[in-house]
Amino acid sequence: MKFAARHTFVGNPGYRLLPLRFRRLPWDQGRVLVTSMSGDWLIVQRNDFERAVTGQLDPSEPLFADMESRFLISADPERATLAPLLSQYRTRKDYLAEGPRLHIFVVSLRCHHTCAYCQVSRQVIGQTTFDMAESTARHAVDRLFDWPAKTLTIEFQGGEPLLRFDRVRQLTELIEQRNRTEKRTLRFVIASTLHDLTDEQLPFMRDHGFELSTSLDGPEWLHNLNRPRPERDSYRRTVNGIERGRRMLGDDAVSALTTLTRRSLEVPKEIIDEYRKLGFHSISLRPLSPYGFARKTGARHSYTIADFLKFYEAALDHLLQVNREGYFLEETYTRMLLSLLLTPFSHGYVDLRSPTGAGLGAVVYDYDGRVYPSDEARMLAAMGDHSFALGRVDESVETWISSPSMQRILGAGVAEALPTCADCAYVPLCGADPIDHYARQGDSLGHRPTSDFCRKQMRLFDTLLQRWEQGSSVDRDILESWALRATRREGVLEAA
Amino acid sequence: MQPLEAKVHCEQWPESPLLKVAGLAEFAAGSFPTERMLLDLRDTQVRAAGPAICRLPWAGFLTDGPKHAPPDRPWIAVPQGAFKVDIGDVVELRPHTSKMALRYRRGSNNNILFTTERCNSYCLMCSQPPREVNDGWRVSQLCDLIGLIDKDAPSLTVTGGEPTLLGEGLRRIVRRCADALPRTHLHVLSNGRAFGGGIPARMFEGLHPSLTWGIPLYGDHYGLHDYIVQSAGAFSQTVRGLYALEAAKQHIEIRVVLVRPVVERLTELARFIYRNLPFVEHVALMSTEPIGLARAHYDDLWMDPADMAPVLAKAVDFLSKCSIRVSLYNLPLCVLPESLWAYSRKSISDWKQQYLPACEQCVVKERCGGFFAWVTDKWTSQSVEPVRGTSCAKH
Amino acid sequence: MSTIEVRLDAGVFSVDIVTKAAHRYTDAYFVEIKSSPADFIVRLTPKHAEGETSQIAEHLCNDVLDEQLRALVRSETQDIHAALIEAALRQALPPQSGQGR
Repeated sequence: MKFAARHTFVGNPGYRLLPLRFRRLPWDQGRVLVTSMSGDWLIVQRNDFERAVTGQLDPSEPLFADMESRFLISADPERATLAPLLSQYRTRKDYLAEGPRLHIFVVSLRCHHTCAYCQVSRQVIGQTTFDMAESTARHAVDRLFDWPAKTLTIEFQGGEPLLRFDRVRQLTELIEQRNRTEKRTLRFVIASTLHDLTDEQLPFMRDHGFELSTSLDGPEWLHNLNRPRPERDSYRRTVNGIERGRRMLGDDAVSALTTLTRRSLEVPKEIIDEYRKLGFHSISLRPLSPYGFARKTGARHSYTIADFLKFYEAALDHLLQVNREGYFLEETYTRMLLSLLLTPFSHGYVDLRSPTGAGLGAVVYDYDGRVYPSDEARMLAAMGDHSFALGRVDESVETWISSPSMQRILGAGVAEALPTCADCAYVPLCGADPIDHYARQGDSLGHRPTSDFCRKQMRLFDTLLQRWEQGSSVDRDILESWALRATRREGVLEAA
Repeated sequence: MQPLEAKVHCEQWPESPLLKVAGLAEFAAGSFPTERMLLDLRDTQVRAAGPAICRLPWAGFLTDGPKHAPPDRPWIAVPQGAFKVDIGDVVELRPHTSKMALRYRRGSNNNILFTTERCNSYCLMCSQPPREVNDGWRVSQLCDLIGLIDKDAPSLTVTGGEPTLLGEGLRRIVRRCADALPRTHLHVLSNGRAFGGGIPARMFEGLHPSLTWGIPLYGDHYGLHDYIVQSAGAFSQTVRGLYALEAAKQHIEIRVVLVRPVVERLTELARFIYRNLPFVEHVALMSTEPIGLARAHYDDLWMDPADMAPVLAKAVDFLSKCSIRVSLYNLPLCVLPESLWAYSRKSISDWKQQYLPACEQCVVKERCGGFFAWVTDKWTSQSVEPVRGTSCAKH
Repeated sequence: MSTIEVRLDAGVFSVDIVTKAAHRYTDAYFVEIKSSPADFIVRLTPKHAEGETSQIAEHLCNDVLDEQLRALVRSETQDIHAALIEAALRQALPPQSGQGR
């Protein structure tokens, strides 16, 4: 048997480029990030990259194999296979396969609080006209099962959904009864302040495997400042609710997230320390969006994306420090972005998807029977703009999908097709948000250089990539420990 | 090393049967037809049972010598020290050459179903060099053998050559195992190339209750993999075969032989596996078996395992973080840093395994997999030496 | 609030490339492009007093060079890009049906 030397297995000399995008590293202009169609990537010297693009790479260079194995180039087509690239692409986009998995039921707009930043346009406690009627609830359950997804996350929101717990209970029971024949995997989440949890509500939630998602803006003084109640004791009630929820449902069933006000941006460490103090291992640092009462009270309370990004860097620094001290604490959006960079998987969050998650990943059934593709679309409607309403619960799902609203969303909902996004190195990992662009810039396609969404995304990707690439091995391990957990999690949690 | 075949004395055998060596327990359990069983007259309990038991329609008798066998009945005597054969084993007798071969050993850590000598790859380090022969007859023989294997055998390995060259024959064998040995795990060693265009992988979907595929991958690009297996197009076929197996809901292990060109790109291979084959359930990193074609390619292949330590540590660490199980095979503990000992398995088949004289003083000898019986100096690490003390209190 | 002017050789760069590169600056600058057979003049005027101007010319030149590479990549990969996406989303059966290299 004659054995052939290595060089004889190169095959036909030469190579072709595969679809790729690149970006100069902001922290090192001499190197570029190169991404494949599916979001695999490599960092290369820019002059080597130019050689690669102009056909000058030699098959014996390690760079050749590095680019080949990431499907940035392809050599002899008789010997190469692109099956992995297709597989990676499908894996990255697998949230498309089954239709919307997140279904939000707004059972009431009533709420105890008077938060200036409220994005849900709450109503005062006595007004039952802002509660979901029974007929609406029954129609919504029918629509829920018209979707094909094998896993359904049902999230109850408000106002404060506990104020209409009878409706929550009824919806849960209707859904479970119908599911005896449907046999989907169900997940129940309730987004609530957790104030005034009754002894009747908690056992029910435990028996149906509820997850609780609540708002905790930070230490007591900040939380009470952001979330006024007439009694001025929101923090105490929230902490009490968290404790009772944990006792009955288990620690893992209770999660919390922040809403960041201008005051919040001044105290990143204190917010994170508060979460650690209360034993949370996950925090969500959510910047305000231009919806609901936040829009009306804008000037007094708003801040720029640049302000948020400064806060974020400080928060990230402190999170890493907390983790270095041996306490595991991740930030949910950071975790999602890291999982996009470091794993081949898709994520369960509808916020950052292409095609967009609005309508394709999530559906919102409002108290009044109107249906929306996202929370943001509902908030716009509450402000008088119904451009993105899909229809009503007593209409068919097909009607919603073919509605002008959905067409408008899809027309601007594929990031890879949007101007400027199409060439961006991060586009395989990023998403389109036509409703956000419409709300901020008045146009669902958006203008990228002035887009807050774009600015935020690019800066976060850049920051995390830089931290990972240049960080100490301890910090890299911490970032990886957040990302690699992500592949086993799913779902997006919102809170009142 | 224990031989698997030996010359024996035998008489009165009309043909070349597969036989189950039996004692009283086998007789009592009735799991196998008496006509297929070889009663072991060397066993004290059998002898104590008296002459009546010999009257049953056994295929024959295993004795110390012709004098001990019942008259006019087939018998086999194994010369002293030639060959270890015990109750529960399955042997194949070839009377015209007076040879007996072991086909199944009860309690062994590596019983194999050898499917064919043919292969469609020609790996540089192949330990079972292929021959182009027509050995389709093996399928029936294996189906017969499967019927004589203990029902509580924990696992069997299907190997060759390349088992998928049997086509439908492989399916028959797997199906026979599912029927006759439903509690026995089946691990098929294959290059997977046939599933990249030739055999539909879905013929194995739902066929066996506990089936895994061990498939070698040697590089993150075709230039390296095709070179190692000496076959243009192999990488493409194997990779496409992996996707086909995954679509057919099969459980997959990737096997990597640690020859030098492969080790030089091992971390890239680990990354490639995670990015493109995240459904892989196990990765086995295996030191070279110094037999067969490997010997002819020493200069291209040899790398002292002790020098691999940094790369192995990186690859193991990466795969573990990605929740892909990883094991180190055929590497003695003394050449590995202690942090990797937990991943090392006693993987060398008992019949071809040994320890070296240096191992006498070693405090972790019992945990260590040792060496291949045919290891020579040049295939042994410079760093082999007994471990005198460890940092782990348990050991 | 001074305007920066950058001159680019029209023999080397196309109008598409120059426009795409200049577009990136429309957040912080008013952008004007004048073209003649010989060259392009790109004029960037900061929108705000604090506008960063020190290295803008260099950055713009880098961006133009990058856009040129992008154009090269696009011309070579446009067709296969569409074909790959279509193949991926078609949920093509894996290898045994002979599809999908």
